[in-house]
Amino acid sequence: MLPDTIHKLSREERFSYARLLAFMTRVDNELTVDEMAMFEQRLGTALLSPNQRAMIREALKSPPPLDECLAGLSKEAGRLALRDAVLMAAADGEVDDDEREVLKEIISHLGLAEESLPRLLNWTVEGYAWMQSGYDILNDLSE
Amino acid sequence: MFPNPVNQLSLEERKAHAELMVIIASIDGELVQEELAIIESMMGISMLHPEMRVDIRNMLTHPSNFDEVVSSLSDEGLKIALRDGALVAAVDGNYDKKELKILKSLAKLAGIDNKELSELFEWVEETWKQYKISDSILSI
Repeated sequence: MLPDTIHKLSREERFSYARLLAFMTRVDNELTVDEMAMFEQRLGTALLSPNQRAMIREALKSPPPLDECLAGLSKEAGRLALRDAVLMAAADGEVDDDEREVLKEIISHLGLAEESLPRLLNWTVEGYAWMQSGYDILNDLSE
Repeated sequence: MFPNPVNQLSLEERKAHAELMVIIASIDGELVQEELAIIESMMGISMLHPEMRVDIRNMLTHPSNFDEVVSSLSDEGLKIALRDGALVAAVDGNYDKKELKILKSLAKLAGIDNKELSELFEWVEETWKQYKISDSILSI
């Protein structure tokens, strides 16, 4: 029932997926706590080995080129990575122009429609609001 | 999964939150891969230190004592743990009796009654549906 399938990808694909997210964290040249928390969350979901995690954290300091990150991704892994790249880009509250350009490059590489980006961004905004609503329920009810 | 205020809790509370997730995940017996993934995900978003995560993983076979763990959680920590515990309990497909019992205990500590807990369960179900929408956008 877990609405995520990252852990079902091959180990190599999960590693490539995580490298793409590491790349995304550095696009706007700043790494906020919110972005780092989202990155660590996604890394956790990928169930990487301790060695792979260490390599990914190194990739945060000097990310590999985008082409290299995309090369190891299958169709499904690429789409999941795109989805989570959008989540990463939005984690600090806004998606800047550089991040949009990278997301468009990923969409183009995957052969997806251009409208994928606004749809995913809209889904992300709704998702963030929905997640907050879960916490709001608990606060409202206890007042 | 979407953002979570758990990383704004103190280090001690974040550790207790992770311990509680392990207790909830393991209470119905066998731990499935989906439960491991969501626990790792929650340890990630709470930004626990890697060594602390090793301690938590070692608890998967020997979970901590519920009463001891909840005693170190604040009111806010209890609410966040209840919400995330409901997500963890649902991740293998349904809530079993033991999971419901521990969530009710947690809810009582957090000041949430059964009716309100049901509302939270509905929220969990809707959260899964929200998440699945991305699959249709991406044709996965």
